[in-house]
Amino acid sequence: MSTYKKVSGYQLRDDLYYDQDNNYWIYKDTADTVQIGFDELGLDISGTISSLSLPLPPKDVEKGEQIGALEAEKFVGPLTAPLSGTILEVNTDVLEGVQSLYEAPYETWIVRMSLKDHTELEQLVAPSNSEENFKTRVERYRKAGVLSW
Amino acid sequence: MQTQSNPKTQTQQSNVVFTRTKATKSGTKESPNWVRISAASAIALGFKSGRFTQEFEFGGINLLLNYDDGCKSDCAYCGLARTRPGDYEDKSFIRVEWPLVETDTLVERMRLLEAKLTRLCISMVTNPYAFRDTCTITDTIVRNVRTPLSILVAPPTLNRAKLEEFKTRGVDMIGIGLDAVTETLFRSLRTDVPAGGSGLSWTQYWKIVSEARTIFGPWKVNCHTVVGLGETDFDLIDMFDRLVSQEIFPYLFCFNPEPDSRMGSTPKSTITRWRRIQLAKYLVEQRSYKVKDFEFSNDGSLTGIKTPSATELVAAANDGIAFMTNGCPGPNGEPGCTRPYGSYKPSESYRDYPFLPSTTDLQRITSELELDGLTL
Repeated sequence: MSTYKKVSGYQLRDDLYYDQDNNYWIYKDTADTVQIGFDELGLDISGTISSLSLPLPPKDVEKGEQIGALEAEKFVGPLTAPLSGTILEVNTDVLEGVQSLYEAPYETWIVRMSLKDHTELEQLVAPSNSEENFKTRVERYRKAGVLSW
Repeated sequence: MQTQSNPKTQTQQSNVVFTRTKATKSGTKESPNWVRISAASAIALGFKSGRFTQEFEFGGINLLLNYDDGCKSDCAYCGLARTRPGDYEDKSFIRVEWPLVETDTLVERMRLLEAKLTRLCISMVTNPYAFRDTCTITDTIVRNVRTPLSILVAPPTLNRAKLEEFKTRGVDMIGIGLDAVTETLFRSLRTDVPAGGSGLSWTQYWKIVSEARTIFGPWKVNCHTVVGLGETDFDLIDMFDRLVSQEIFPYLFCFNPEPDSRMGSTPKSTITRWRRIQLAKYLVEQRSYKVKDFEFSNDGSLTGIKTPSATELVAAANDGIAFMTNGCPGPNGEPGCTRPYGSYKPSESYRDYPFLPSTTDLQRITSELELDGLTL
């Protein structure tokens, strides 16, 4: 069973992989598929998200390829694939309203995909390293003036 | 930082008498002790996490007075209008939330971050307590922060003595949100309105413009003009000419429909019209063009510019300044109030740029301008 811990003021789930460049969490829900969502830091640095756009599944993607966009009050930016594979599902609930992202960020996935290359998963931040990595990320954003104080 | 005085015990400092005692409900978060700040200001001052799509130096802090019973006006296009559905405290203004913060905490943040601030502005609302509370907030700011301060005034609440009071207290510039540039349009959108105009009259607005110009001096007063409320290009350019001839800045805003407002389904101006009006305003303000130097169709649409040289006109467009956000200047004359994404969504083209447009931006602007469609 997953547990949460508070790290630098944010909740962190201890059984997830993390993409430190995109501030995603990745949960391996079967041997060949993952769910992907935003971690709490990823939500916070964007400001208040107003909308997401995501691709129509199924869609083959390569790691780093743009798969959608995020728009907030003062920010718009691309969403990129953290892994190569096929997007099997998108969470249509978050396309209609983003509230659930804030209410339960680690239970609200945005896309579900099959993996093309399992070794890419090992290049992400592993659960065992996530706490230290998360602290570093938070500090980087604090220095950049992106986080409230 | 000094403690903000209690408005009920404020010492009388001038010839303006505060005759009303505010019956503040216990626990309410109203001005002067609380104010709303723009989302961009909240991010810049660390009240709210977030970032801008493109990083740039941002230091224009906008405050908005806050009252439980809100703004008494009912302007057709405004998010704060009385008849717009919803509780006042939940209403958006220029389409985004304005976080509510304690004035003392806000001023303390301003003091700590003063080096990056370029302009401060208090926006009044039409409310009986707005003048008194603006004075109180002004005093707190001026005591603690040296960044130049503007007030976007609510003319129905003011007279000459009150404007003089602002000047005495250290206000640098006065803004008047005229918005609608003809009397007929002003009346239809702001005076003859469902909840009553609350004293919003064309005559009163111009009286305050005139008094402010006398008291604050040349280029220390600005009038907000909005493109897309139903006016013609002639109406706008004629207004720019009139204001500039009085050494008053015309500030340009692009109408952006506020959901559920009475103009919520009115489309914003086309990008080409908007760009041409931006350029025309720049020519009037910076290159001494007069309204007679522009050509119009019978319906008042801009059809041509009588320029000595088309090359000069293209050069004027290419310096990019015409397309930057209009706002009060910073301490060194640089753009001080830049309101990023104030009239467009982050996913849309910049209507006005909070920084000098890049070469790539200018290529896009040139395309949007469609100068080929004008007689030069």
